Amino acid sequence: MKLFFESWQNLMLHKTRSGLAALGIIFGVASVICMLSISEVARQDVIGRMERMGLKNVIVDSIKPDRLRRRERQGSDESWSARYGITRTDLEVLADNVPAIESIVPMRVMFKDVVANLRVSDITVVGTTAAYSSVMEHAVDSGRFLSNVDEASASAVCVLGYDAAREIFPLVSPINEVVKVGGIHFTVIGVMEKKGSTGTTGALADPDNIAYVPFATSFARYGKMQVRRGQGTSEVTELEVNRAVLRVKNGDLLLPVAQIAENLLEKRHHQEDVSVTVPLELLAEQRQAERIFRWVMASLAAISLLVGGVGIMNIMLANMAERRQEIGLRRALGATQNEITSLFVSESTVLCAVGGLLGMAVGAALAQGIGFLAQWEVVYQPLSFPFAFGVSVLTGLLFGTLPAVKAARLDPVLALRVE
Amino acid sequence: MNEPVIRLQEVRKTYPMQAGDVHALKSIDIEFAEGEFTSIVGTSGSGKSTLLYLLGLLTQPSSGLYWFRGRQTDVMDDLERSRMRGREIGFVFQSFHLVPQLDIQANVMLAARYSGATGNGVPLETKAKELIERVGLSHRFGHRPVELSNGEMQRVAIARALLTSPSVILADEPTGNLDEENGAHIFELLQSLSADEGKTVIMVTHDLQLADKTQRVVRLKNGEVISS
Repeated sequence: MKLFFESWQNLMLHKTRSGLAALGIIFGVASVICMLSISEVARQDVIGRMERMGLKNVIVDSIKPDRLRRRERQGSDESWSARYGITRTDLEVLADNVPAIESIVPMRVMFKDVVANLRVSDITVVGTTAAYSSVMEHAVDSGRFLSNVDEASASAVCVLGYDAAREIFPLVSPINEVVKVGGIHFTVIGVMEKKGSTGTTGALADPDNIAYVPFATSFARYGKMQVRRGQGTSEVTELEVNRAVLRVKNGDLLLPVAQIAENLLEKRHHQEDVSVTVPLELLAEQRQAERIFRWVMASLAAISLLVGGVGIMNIMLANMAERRQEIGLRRALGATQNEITSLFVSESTVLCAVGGLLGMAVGAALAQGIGFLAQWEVVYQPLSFPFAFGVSVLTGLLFGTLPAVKAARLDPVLALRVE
Repeated sequence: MNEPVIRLQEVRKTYPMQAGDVHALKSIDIEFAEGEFTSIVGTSGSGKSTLLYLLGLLTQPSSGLYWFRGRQTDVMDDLERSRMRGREIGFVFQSFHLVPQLDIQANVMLAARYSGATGNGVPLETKAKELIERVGLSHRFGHRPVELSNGEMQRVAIARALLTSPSVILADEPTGNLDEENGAHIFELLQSLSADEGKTVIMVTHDLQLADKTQRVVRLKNGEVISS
């Protein structure tokens, strides 16, 4: 402890030089903290998205076949109609043939205007069933969710997502209020809790901005076809289900169920218009990407610290040359070679430790700044601070050793000689 | 007869150089008695400083035997030699070798850093103050070396050399950077250490008049003692 205190005093005798020497370590450690924070944000984002998609769910999405995408890209001025994607019969086949499936939640996106208080809102309308709330782990904030009775009777009721409710009814409770969806009056029976993005793209990406109506109602009131009108053209699509979420009874069966579902749907469809995704697989992919990301960042951090360490070594070597006579004096006063080595190693270690502490503060501030600019919530890995501190101390020990040994090996007679 | 404090027998010091070995000391046989004030004189390159640093255990003889207070030093390891140096030997240099960033008390205290000196019941801070007063610098407490004259700096160096109560004082041209008045004052200080406190003082000097005032003069030439 006495040695560290003495080292600190020695460093303080040359404040500017010590400060400059510590800069490399400060920025090296700051980059480690910052990078680990970014990595943690990415990790938590992936886990969050996966959890929102459901840990025991298989996601089946309808995808537009290539020919339709090409037609859209070419901007044809002809009217066309197409049929693709998951059908209600597909879901019945899956339910009948895969006993490991606990429930299936269909989601049908309707391109209908939602009008309330004479104002058209930019809200997505989705037809779904009562199981949606439990399968997607999306609870009701007030009122109730769609029920099997609503489904059986194809009632004109709807449940609003959290943001949708705020947008349409900013001042009053939406429960029992009426909204017009595609010209048909629906009674609001509930409002969902805030959920956040599912991490997917498309109309189902933001569950907070959706008006949920009974799946059966979406067919009973609007039919199977959806028409989008352009200038003198119209696109008629028969897409029964945009997404189906298969809740599996046992998490261990997730991958086999996904495989069976994929095989069954492949047999029933003559075009590539369905994709099967397992959030856990998504997680594995993300984790692989994360691993690579971490290696890259760890390498960058190591290079930063290496540069910082070399800087420390250079400064300590210059320090040694400048303090040649002091080293000679200390030897004359009874210092052993080991004590001179310890003094110099201790100085570089203290320098790096202080640099590490400052670097942690700078890194945390930098991460906050980046989080502010990128508009994400900054998360720190709990071990990143002791890790960064440990690495900086180790850097001081390693890179301080050579100058320290050189200092200790100075011939005291030569060191005391005045040129 | 008392055993000498220092005894050298057939001591040689050779520096291997690219152009050939340099024999700084050639077969030195010499003894220094307790309380004796000796000066070592000789021309530049005669080996005066090499002998002084060898006596101070800062360098090892290439061959020969060296006893310090009856203990053979050439077989000691670095730790033993360093501890003996810290406890038993005080150095005074021509260039003072004070640490410029430390005030005079801290400079004096530096002597206790490695010697393990405790001050025999007196706190080292108090002892350092007493020594500073003794060398006539009580009005300079808190000052740094840069604020002192050369004579004052050398007095601080002497105070530092005395902190651990060493039995031997080695002074390398202690008056070399001082004017006549300050030089005389420093010499008197060294003289009193020998006469009043019984310390063995060995001083390297170019000043033959000053050397003649010491009890004994050792003359070196080309690494050999020509008279002592």
